[in-house]
Amino acid sequence: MSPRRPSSLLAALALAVAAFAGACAGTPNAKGYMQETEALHQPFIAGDVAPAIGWSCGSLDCHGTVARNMRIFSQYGLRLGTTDTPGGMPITQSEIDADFRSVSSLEPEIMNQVVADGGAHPERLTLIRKARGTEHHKGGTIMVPGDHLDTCLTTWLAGAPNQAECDAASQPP
Amino acid sequence: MSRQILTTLAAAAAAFSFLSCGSPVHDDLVASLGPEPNGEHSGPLHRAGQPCLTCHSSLGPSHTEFAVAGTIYKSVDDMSPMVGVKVIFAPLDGTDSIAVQTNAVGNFYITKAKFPLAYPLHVSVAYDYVDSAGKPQEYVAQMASRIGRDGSCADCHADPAGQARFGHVYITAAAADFPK
Ligand code: HEC
Ligand code: HEC
Repeated sequence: MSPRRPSSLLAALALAVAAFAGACAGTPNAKGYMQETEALHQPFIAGDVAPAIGWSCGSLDCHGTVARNMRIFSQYGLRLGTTDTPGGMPITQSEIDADFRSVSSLEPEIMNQVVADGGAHPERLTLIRKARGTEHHKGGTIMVPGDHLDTCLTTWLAGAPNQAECDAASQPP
Repeated sequence: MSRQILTTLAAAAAAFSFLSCGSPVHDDLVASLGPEPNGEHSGPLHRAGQPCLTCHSSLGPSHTEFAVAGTIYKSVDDMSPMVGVKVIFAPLDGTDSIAVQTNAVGNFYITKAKFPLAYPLHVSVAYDYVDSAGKPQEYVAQMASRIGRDGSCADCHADPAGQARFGHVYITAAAADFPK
């Protein structure tokens, strides 16, 4: 390997760090989340987004396991309460909040940007691409634009979740 | 870097990949299931209630790969094996469902080669019996949620039930539903 001047290396590093920091620009709130992403918390609760994600993504062999990322708690999957069991009582508020954290902490900066753009181009989010199967996803294609789950998630990212669609995406047969 | 070091590295890498070609995590999982519980021979009647695909997958140790497999018991409290139960798999994409029957210990399995369906799947269990009045009846229990990708019932259905487990698969909540 040919020796390099350390100063040029340092300069390149500094540039890279600056560029990276720029990508993270946003207003973290008191909890350390991006402000705009946190703005999706109430709609997440009010729109019944958690049960839809739980039903579609949270089975015990998929995201309802501690062995995989984007951990999802739900009525038919993993439970947060130590005495609750899958298939038992409906989803709890603590589970809904935990699910919101799981989903919104995946790519907070990009989610922030999608929210700022009123939900436009949600496919910028890995969450959407994986669920649509347009990016490699071990769980395959879970939704397609226009169906219940896709409408639920994309309207939620636009700030006004379609609760009826979310409910339809979380119904046992 | 000298060629000698590179050669040594390559040799080490080759040796390592050879040694680790069985996954230690998988080996531990298999080992955790222990020897044949009742000293039976390996085969369709063995290891009732265990997660069959832990061993019947591409990782071995069995050479026979299953797509789905498990054990069906009578009720919540009665662990008698259910013989002749139909286990029915229905995919969400609308293709035809397929069914398999449980054997003498309540076990069932479908090999990977004979399983055309894609996940996610609905599953139900159906039991035909003759009631005390001599009338043929069918009892069906349907799993409300769906299986995302795991063909081993026992990965989710193991006792005791807990935060991430439902308990064994049973055909009826009340065993008294069936004549003795
Ligand atoms: C701990 C590992 C393990 C588990 C768990 C296990 N098996 Fe096996 N099984 C084996 C081995 C090893 C063999 C014999 C060697 C072979 O098939 O290559 C075998 C053989 C079989 C065979 C005969 C296969 C053939 O082609 O000859 C059947 C059928 C079978 N098992 C069914 C089951 C069912 C059903 C379950 C779950 C209730 C189960 N097994 C659970 C390890 C296991
Ligand atoms: C991913 C985890 C998972 C797997 C794998 C799984 N189950 Fe289930 N099963 C559940 C959960 C959770 C429930 C309780 C809620 C429900 O009905 O969906 C359940 C419930 C059931 C019920 C209904 C029980 C009742 O109270 O009526 C049946 C029947 C059943 N499962 C059969 C099976 C069979 C057969 C298999 C294997 C082919 C299987 N399950 C595999 C998670 C699973």
